[in-house]
Amino acid sequence: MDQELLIERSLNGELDAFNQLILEYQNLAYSVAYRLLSNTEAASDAVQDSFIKAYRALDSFRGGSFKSWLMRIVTNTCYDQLRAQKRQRTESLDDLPVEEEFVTQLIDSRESPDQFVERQELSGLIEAAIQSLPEEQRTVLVLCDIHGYAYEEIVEMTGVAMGTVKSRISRARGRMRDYLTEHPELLPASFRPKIA
Amino acid sequence: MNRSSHTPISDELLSAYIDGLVTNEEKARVEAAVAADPALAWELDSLRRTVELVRDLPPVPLPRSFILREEQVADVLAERRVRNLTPATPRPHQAPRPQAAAPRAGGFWREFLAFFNSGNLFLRNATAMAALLLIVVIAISEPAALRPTNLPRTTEQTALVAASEPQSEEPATFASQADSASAPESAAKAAPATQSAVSTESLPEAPAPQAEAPAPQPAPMQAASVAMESASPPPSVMRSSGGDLPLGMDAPALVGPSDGIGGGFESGPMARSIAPDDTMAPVGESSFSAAGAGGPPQADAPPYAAEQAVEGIASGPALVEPAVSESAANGSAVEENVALDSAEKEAAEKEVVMVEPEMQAQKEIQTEPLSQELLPQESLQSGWPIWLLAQVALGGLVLLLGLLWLRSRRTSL
Repeated sequence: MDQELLIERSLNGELDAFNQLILEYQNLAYSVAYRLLSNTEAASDAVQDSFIKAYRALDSFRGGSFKSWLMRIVTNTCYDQLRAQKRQRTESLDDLPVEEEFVTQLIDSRESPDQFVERQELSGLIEAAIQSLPEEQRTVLVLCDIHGYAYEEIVEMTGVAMGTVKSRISRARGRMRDYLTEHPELLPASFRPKIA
Repeated sequence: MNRSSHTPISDELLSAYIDGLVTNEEKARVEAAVAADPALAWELDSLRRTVELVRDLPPVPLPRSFILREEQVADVLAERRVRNLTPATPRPHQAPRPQAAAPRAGGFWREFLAFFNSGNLFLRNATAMAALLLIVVIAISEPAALRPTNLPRTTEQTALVAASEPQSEEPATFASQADSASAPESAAKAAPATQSAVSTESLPEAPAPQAEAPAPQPAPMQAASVAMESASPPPSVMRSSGGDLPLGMDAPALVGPSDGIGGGFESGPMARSIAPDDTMAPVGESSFSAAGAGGPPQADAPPYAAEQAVEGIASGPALVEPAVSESAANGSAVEENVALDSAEKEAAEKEVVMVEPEMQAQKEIQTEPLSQELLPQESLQSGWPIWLLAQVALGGLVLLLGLLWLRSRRTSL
C-alpha cells in the first residue's frame, strides 16, 4: 500500500494504518536496536518507544524517506538507552551474551557440528567486535554493513555530514578488522594474511 | 593495524573503494597502489573480508510484535480522530480544494468542533467559564429577580393603579393575596381588612375568611387586643387623642412587619412589643368598635399612610397587614369589642370621620399594591446584583464566542 497514504491515514487517527508501517519496518528497527544495544529487552523497549515517539511526532514528518526518519528516531532512542545504561552502571544477567536465540538461525543441515560451532563462535566474535566500537561508529557500521544502507541514507538517519559518515565507517571497519585479527583462531583461513 | 607510511592511500579511501563510492581517478590510484604494495593489498583484502563477515551476520529474530495499541497513544489518537472530524486536512489523493468551504461541508457538530478547536486554551476556558457562570446565575436566581420589569412601582404609580381600579374589587384583591400568600397570617390579615374596608354590614361575612385563616394565636383575648391595636385604624390618632401611649410603642408594630409579610407579628420583637401591651387595649377597642360598628372602615388607612409617608413604601404594607390579620384571627374578640363604651365610639367616629377622605385615598393606595410590592422591594436588593451578574456573564460569553468565531475563520482561510 502506498506509504504516503498510510501516513495520511495515520494522521487522521487510523492506528491500523500506522501499524502497517510498523509491520514493514519493525524487523529493521529491532535489528539496528539490538546491534546497538546488544540486549534483547533493552532493544525491545527502545523499538517500542521509538514507534510510539514516531506516532506522536508524525505531524512533524515533512515527507521524504519515512524509513530514514523512523530509523533516526530508533537510533536516537538507542543512544538515550545507552546513556541511561551508562548512568545506571547496572549489570544484570540480561546483559550477558545470549547466543541461544541464534542457534536456530545458524542451524544448517549441511553443516557439521564442528562447522556449526565455528560459525557460532565467529558470530560471537563479530558481535563482540561490534560492541567494542564507539556508539557513533557502531551505528554507521550497522547501518552500512549489516543493513546495506547507502551513505546518503545514513546521513539522513544519523543527521551527520557525509564526510563524517565516511570517516566513521572507515574507522569502524579498521577497528573491526584489528579486533578480529587479534583472534585469528576463530577466523576463516581466507581472512588470515597470507604469508609469502 | 598501521599501514606503511609511504602509501598515499588512506583507510577512508580504501573503505570507499570497497563500497564503490570512489571516482574513476581514485579507483585507478587505489588499484595502482594495491598492485605495488602487498601490505596495502592485504589491508584492502582484510577490510573487504571484515565487511563480508559483518554482512553475513544472521538476522536478529523479533522477540515480539511492536504493533501499537490504542491505550499506548490514546491521547494523540483521540486528538487526531477529533481533528479528522473536521475536514480541514486534505488527503494526498484528493485534489486540493478551498479549505474555507470545508467546515460548511460537515454538519453542525463538525462546524462547531472546528470552531471551538480553533480557539486557544485561554479563549476556550474563558468561554466555558462565562457559560458556566451564566448557567449558575440563572439557576440560583429566581425568575422574578431576573425580570427588570419587576421593579417596584413608585408610590405615584401605585396610587394611579389603585385609583384606576374600582373599590369593589378590593375584596377580590385581598382574597387573591390571601390565596397566594404562603403564610397563614397573611390570609388572616387580608380577610378582616376587607371586612372593615367594605362596611360594618359586612361583618357577618367575617367567619368565612376566618375559616380560611387558622387562628395562630393561642390566647384569643390577647390576640384580640393585639389585633385591635394594630387593626385600630389610627394608632397615631388615638395616641394623639388618648395621649397615654408613647409613640415608641407602636413603632415596632408599624415597622416590624416590613421584615416579612406577617412574619414579624408572631415572632420576635413584634409579638413581644404588642401582645403584652394590654394597656393599649381600651384604645384599640374603642377605635376598632368605631370602625367596625358603623364607622367607616377606611378610617384604618390615614395613620398608616401618614406613617408610610415617613417610613417609605417598605413599611407601608406591613402596617396594614398586621392590623388586618389580627382582626381576622380574632372574630370573637371583635364581637366582644362591639359592646364598648359608646362615648369612646363617638370620639373615635369623630376622629375617623375627620380623616375619612384622606384615609380612603391612602387605603386605596396601600391595600392592593403594597403587599405585592414587598417582593420586588426585596428582590430589588438581591435581584439586581444577580441580574447584573447575568448580564456580565452573557456579555462575556457573547464576546468570547465572537473571538472564537473570528479565530476559526482566520485559521480556516
